[in-house]
Amino acid sequence: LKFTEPQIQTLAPDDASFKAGKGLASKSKWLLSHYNGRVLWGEIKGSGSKPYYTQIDVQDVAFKCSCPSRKFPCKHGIGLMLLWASDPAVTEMETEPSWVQEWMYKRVSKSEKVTETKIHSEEEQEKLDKSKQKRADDRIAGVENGVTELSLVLKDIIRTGILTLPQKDRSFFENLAARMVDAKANGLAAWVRRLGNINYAQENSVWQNEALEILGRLFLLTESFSNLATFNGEWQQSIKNLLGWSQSGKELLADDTTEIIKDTWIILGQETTDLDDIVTQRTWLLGVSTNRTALVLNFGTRFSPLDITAVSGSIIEAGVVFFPGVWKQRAVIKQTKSTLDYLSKLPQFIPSIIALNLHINKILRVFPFATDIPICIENIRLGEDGECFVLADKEGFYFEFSPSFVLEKQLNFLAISAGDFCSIAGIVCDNKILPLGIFQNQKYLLL
Amino acid sequence: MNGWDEILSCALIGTDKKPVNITLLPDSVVALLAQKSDDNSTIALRSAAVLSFYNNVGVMPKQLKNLDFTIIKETQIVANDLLMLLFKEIELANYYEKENLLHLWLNCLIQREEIVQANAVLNVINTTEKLLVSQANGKKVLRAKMAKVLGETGKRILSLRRSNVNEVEEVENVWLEGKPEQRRCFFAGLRNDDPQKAMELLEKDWSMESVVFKKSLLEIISAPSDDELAFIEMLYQNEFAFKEKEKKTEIECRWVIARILLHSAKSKLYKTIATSLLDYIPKEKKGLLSKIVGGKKLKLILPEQIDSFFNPTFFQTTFGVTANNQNSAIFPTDVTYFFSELIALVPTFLWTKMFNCSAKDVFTYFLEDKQFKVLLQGVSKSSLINVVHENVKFSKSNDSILALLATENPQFFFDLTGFLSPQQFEQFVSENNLFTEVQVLTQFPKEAGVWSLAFSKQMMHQNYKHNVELQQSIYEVMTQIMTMHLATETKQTIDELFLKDDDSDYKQRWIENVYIPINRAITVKERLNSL
Repeated sequence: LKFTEPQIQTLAPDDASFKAGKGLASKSKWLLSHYNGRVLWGEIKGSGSKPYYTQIDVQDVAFKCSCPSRKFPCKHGIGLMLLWASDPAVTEMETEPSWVQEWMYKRVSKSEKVTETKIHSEEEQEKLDKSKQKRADDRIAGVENGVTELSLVLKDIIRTGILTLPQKDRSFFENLAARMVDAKANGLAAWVRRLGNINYAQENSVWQNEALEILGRLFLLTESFSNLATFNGEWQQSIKNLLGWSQSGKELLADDTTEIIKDTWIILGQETTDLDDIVTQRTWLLGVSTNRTALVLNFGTRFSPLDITAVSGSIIEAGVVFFPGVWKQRAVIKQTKSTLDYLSKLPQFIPSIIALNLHINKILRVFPFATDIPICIENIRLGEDGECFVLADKEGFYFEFSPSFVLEKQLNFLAISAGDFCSIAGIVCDNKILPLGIFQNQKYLLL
Repeated sequence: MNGWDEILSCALIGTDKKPVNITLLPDSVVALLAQKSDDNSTIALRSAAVLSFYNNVGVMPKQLKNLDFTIIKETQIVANDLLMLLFKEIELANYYEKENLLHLWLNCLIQREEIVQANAVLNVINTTEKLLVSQANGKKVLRAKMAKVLGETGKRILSLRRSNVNEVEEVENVWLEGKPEQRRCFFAGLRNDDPQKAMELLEKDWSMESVVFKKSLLEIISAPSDDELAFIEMLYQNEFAFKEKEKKTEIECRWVIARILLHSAKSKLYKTIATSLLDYIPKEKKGLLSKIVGGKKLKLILPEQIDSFFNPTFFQTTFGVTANNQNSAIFPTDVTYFFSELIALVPTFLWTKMFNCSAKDVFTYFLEDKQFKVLLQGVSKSSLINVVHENVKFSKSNDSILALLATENPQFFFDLTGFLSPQQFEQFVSENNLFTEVQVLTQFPKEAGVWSLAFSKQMMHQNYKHNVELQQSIYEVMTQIMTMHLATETKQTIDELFLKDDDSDYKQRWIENVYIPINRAITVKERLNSL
């Protein structure tokens, strides 16, 4: 798969790296640059006597460069990909140099190791189970403390009136969120931060409704946790996830009993957020035949960069496994067979805004906590509501755009669609839509 | 609403003050609440949780009242993938080479009457908008070209990006509806293309224009046609003739008009002034003077006190020159001040005819003669240097420019090299070995296109030779100029220099700052030409 420039841009850690990479996307800067079916590699002169060796696994996307940069991928990786994308001068070469072979060998053996499970003796297993149970109990106890404290705070706020919220210092919310993090209830901490981040300067009716909704949701979460024992396994797992329990992708991959959904998956889009030095990358997938949607989460820190498993806008033949839950969304890509340039079949589209509304309601009825719902919709185009663009259907029913779909992106949408009806993929959150890409001529173009 | 307002009103002031009246809530919610024995705050929170969910799932999407949304239809041919790929390459170029490459690319599209692909429209706009341009009006020129290749999609997008609305606004009839600057540009263009029509337009609408705009139009006119001369003489004798009470701009208009008239030997003013000036040439030596070649004996005897010619009233009424000498450090007497004003107005050919000598002799006299020298910050300098410069800049006479550049300190006049013909420019640079003189090289007019092959090769060799001593910033400017004007056939020369055996760091610098960008520029040019 040859990446397109917008796809490469989504892989760059920041704008500066992408810009620096662009500066290196010239044939004359590279001492050599080749590719074959599985890997792309190049040598570029650096500040030292030896050149930097840059390599990219183009199937199971991964980067490696011998430069000292902490950025991932570094500017050399980005530059090489851009060069490959735009310049036919990057030539095909079947034989890989030894440094490429070595790295690819390690990658293949590592991925094989992942599926291997270590066998423990009965005694060892019992010990492991015990310590696991203890950790689980401790975690429950910690979260219970957090939930109890938060419940009291919520009641206090509602008792004294939410009109006091705008007067509260930012540290009130930050400290409360920090205590939830200490109690290992990161999910609650995120909602507390959201309460603190409301723009209290905006129109009263707006912030007041927003604040009361968040308080209601937080209450529902704390109540759900208090009644955890009354729910079935999937619900218990989903509630725990919402409160901050993490799920291990490695364990899921190692579990042979989990169903693998094989399909042609479109990588609809990605979003990266950075909070407390932890980078969270959310990647949304759509299975063309199964019509299943999935969310792949990746985490990175300053010292362990994001593991890039999927490139936004690409189309892959892959197997995806889902974590258990009421609304199964979070998933891991298990096997990537190949990448495709075109869609041989289009996904099933939602035909109108009314149908989209029903679709969202259906999901919310199953799982009221559902947010960021991936959708594919056809027969829609830009409409104008006053001075704002909206996403409208033929009858004029519309969804407002999410604030992150900024004017620049709206104009790009206008340019590509020419204002005509089209089919798009996007994410619905809080009754607003964030378009991610547009379907055109059996291709999926990122917006 | 479904009880939400009741919950919100209680939540706002607090349930301590206002407990929720559950009878106002929907029955299903009341039934839910009845299962628990909650306190007031819990009732409010539980109701908020349930009702916010109801609000999310139970509301119909909003509907637009106006369903009209224009579908953009393109009528022009869309550029092919190869052209768009070239744009991507231009995007990768260094900032100092991008402007020129972008011009070439846009020119190519305009010539082919094609528009950019829809998915690249925003990229083209952003690249153009963010570009650092080398000349003051560079962005304007680039934007105008860009607007031609964006098609209907681009026009729509530009109109939605508020900051650009004014800049690319298209007016159907610029002369009638345009802004002053647009109208001025229109008139200047029309005067070049169709002088007759420009004159008609000028005469027809002159009375309706403001004095400020009239001045800006007059400033465009140099080397007037007979019709223009007649019109301007009429203005000089009537509208802008001296009046007891007149506006500052009217006086300035008289100055502009006087300069135009003096630069035409046919005008009455020229003849009058030429005759008057003869009085200041020493008569007894005139015969002898005419025989001296080289002009060292040129002499003007200026009066020590104001007289009938060099006096405030005459200069104000005749030339629109302000009566006050505001710079006594440079012009110690009123006469020297008025003389300098005269130099600014009178063409070089008047002096050459009067002294019967070459333009170089005239300039040498004005710039080197002791009577015009002043001591400024310890340096002896001609007080006439600026006015001579301004005068030649107005006349744009190649002979005068070359004569000025042949004087002892040509560096003061390097900016005038831009008015030379490409051949004269190349010759001047070669003869004076100014291959690394950025001040001169930047003057080569963009529209003149490429340098000759011989000159291009010389430039490359000299740039390579002086690599060690040139500052990075100068280096970048030089590369920018070379990417613009080097002949594409120079590729062989740069490849030879590239292969030259030299491992120094400077060679690496040359490769990065000169070889790569120029190679790219030549490749882009070649590809554009081959399309």
